[in-house]
Amino acid sequence: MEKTRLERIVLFAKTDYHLRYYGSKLGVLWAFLNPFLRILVYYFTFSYLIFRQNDPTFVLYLFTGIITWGFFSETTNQSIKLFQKQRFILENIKLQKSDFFISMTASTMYAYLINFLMYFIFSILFFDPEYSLKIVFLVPILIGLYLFALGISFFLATLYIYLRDLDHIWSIIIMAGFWTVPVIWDYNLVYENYKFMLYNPITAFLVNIRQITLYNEMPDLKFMILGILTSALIAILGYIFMIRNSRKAVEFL
Amino acid sequence: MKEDIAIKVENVSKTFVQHNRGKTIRDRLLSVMKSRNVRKIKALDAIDFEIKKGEFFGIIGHNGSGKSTLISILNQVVPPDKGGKVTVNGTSIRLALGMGFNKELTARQNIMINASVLGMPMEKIKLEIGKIIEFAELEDYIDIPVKYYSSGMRSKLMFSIAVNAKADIFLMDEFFGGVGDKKYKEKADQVFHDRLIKGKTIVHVSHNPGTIEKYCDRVLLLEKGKMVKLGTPDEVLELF
Repeated sequence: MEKTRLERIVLFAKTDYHLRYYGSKLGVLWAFLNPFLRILVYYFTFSYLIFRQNDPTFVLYLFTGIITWGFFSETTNQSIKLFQKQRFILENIKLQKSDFFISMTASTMYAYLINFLMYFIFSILFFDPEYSLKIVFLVPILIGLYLFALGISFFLATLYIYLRDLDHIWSIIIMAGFWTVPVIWDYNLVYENYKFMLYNPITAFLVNIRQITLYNEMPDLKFMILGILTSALIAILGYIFMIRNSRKAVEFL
Repeated sequence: MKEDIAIKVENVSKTFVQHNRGKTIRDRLLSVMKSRNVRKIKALDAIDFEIKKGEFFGIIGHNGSGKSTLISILNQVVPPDKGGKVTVNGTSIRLALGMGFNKELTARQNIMINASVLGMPMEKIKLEIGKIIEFAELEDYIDIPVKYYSSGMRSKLMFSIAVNAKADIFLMDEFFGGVGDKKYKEKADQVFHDRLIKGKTIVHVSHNPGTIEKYCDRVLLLEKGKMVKLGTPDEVLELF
């Protein structure tokens, strides 16, 4: 890739991150505080009110679930109005539109990685967990997750050009999606009763992230690889869809 | 395409289609039973011309004549109707005052983004950002969001960024020379002349005959999307 283009993508990503978190008074602190508070709410609701069982490691279970789902929902939500947000550039100069997608997703991925770092610090401070070299499996899993979110983003941003209430509909889909993925409920249920759910890349990735980080076990390689391949395919199809259908982005938005 | 041609426009038309099906999922679902009612607006009709390299080319016309649509098509950010073709030799950017900013970002961030989009390498941006700020006379306000700027300040900022832009072809949409008070205007006019337009291909769109007469080599007169006349400023302005 040409050097100035790479620099531009990095600059876009930095600006996007800055805009998202420095806008509020709490600043970057908000980026950590938000998932933290959500984890607390779910933890107390589920371990004291609903299940009435006190398993402290449930916090860690929730932590990985909420930050992973949070990454997906944040990325896709941001993507819907991406063309509109970048209109001020798009109408003045012909650029590769994929630059905007790569930089936006890089910025949300960065926030996710910082959350993951917090997870490791938190778990080491309070839980004395066992980690081993299996942790390197997180690399392909996170790449898969990134590609999946990127692919869906291509579709959403392009569809928004023609369907201006897509953001409302998507917020419902995200809300429903939250419950179809084992963010809160026990993922062993997936293996026992709903194995087909593992064909959803997010479920496959989330299950494997927990295998590695919570139980220090080998990931389920079959579904990990399948998830990565599906995600790569969705990213490619999304890219083609975006290139073919976004020619009129400037005049329609 | 011949070497000395910067932009070649062949049989370019642009039709904007409005239909009653709506732009939301809700409207589309609700209008399934309705008959399809399409309204077409022809913004440009069979435009043909060539712009030579290094030429200062003017496009003049009243409001709604299709000037801005034509600029967007020349810039290749809006596609022409089927059958039309635009060939551009080199890179192009559109300059318009008060545009091209993300209002939530500070002026400094906007300079970085714009300069990067306009093709400047990061090293050079860091080196020249001081000059850009100084030229815009905005030293004291550079780290506040652009949304708090007056329109005059925005224009100065955009102008200052633009004179540092790198492109082969500049498409100027009512973007011209100085803004602000008389002293600044004189300084800006000078820089505009020396740095921006000298030796470059310029397409200048305006409804103001003054600047067209002063700078343009050739002028195209548009009226309701049609080419009325292409010729020297004297010939064309007579009809305007």
